[in-house]
Amino acid sequence: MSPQFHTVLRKSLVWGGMLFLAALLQTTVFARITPFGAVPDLMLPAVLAIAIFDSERVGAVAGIAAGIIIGALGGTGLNLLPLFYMLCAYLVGIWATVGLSANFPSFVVYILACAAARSVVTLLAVDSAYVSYSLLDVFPQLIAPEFAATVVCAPLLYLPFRRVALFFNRRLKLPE
Amino acid sequence: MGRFFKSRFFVVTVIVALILVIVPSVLSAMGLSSYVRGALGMIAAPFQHAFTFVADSVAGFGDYFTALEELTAENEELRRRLEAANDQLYNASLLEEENEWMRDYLGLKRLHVDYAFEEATIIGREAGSYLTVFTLNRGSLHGIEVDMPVLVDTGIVGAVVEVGPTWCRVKTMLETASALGAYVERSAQNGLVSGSFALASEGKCVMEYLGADADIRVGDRILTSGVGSIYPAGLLIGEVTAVTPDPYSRGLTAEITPAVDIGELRRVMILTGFDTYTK
Repeated sequence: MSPQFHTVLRKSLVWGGMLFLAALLQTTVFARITPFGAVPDLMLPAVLAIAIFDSERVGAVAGIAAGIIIGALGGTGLNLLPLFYMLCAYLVGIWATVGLSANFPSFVVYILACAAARSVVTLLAVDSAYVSYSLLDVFPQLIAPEFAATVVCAPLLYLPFRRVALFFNRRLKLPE
Repeated sequence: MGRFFKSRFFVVTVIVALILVIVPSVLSAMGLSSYVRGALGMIAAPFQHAFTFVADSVAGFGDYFTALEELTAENEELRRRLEAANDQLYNASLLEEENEWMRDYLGLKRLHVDYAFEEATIIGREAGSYLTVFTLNRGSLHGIEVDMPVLVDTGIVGAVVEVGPTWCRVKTMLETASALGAYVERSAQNGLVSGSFALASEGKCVMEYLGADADIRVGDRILTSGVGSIYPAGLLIGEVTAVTPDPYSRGLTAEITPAVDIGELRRVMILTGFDTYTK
């Protein structure tokens, strides 16, 4: 087998393992300890980190995988997350190449934008699950807490994914 | 930038993502689970179990402090309520005691309609051990005079021996210098009840001037005879607990246990007036 295949296989296992770990944390630890009363979406910053530190294509594939994993571990019904994570990772990966760099402030900006988009996905999920609901109830009880929890917990994943990316030495723009 | 969205990779990835959104959703709506979800769930189960254990431990540690704070606040609230309840209980017991007192007072008043009473509280006792003299919180300003009888519903206590403006001193029947005319209720045998130095420590007094053939025995009730005009007739003094020959008079001497437990007294009634009372 070629070295490139070994690299791809090794990277798949490592990124896949880290996504799996993030999913476990999200469905166990953070399902018990809920910041702001909501479960943070740890898969979103995970796939964004992969897209930033690796490439937009690897991020897109990771996004699909993340959507499948989190759907398998904790989701029921309509699961738009594979498509959503894929799009977010692909777009952020592109923007990290042509626009902002891969440093922490940029990561925060990406998280804020994608977490806001995640809120729309959550609203669509609520709409598919409940016959009637009020936005005045859903927003303060679900949307806003989930957004806040995701943004607050996202920085926890920055350093671990950065370390792994350093290991693979892929497209990491470190400050001088 | 547009080339990124026109690339074959992007188009294929979007199609795959759509398939992976639609198929599991349809299967889930049908109550079926895809093989991928099943396999992932099975692989993740032991890890989720371990992570949940850690999460519960961490959350339990945090709950300890939250619960501790809540428990501390609850403890303070319960302590405050307990103090309030104890205060209420104490007030209730005082009211009950006063109620009982008033009931006894009313009973005595009904029995002797000519009696005029002044309620008083013991505010001081003799420093000695024999409980023969104590101080009440009524005095001349309340119409109290020397030689007025002092009693409770169960019997006599003594008489006023000293009066101040707002206090008076009472000598009980245990005092060796006191003496009151008495008779045996059963046999109408007359005698004189007075204090005894030897028996005062036991809270008892003696009945003397009984003939050798006096009809008196243990268990007899001793009442005031009204002789001497300090005490009205018919008030209970106590009960005979022993009858012994008097070595000096060759008569009998009866040991009397007062009907009133002078050591436990807190409130008394001063008899300020009755029909047969004369100075």
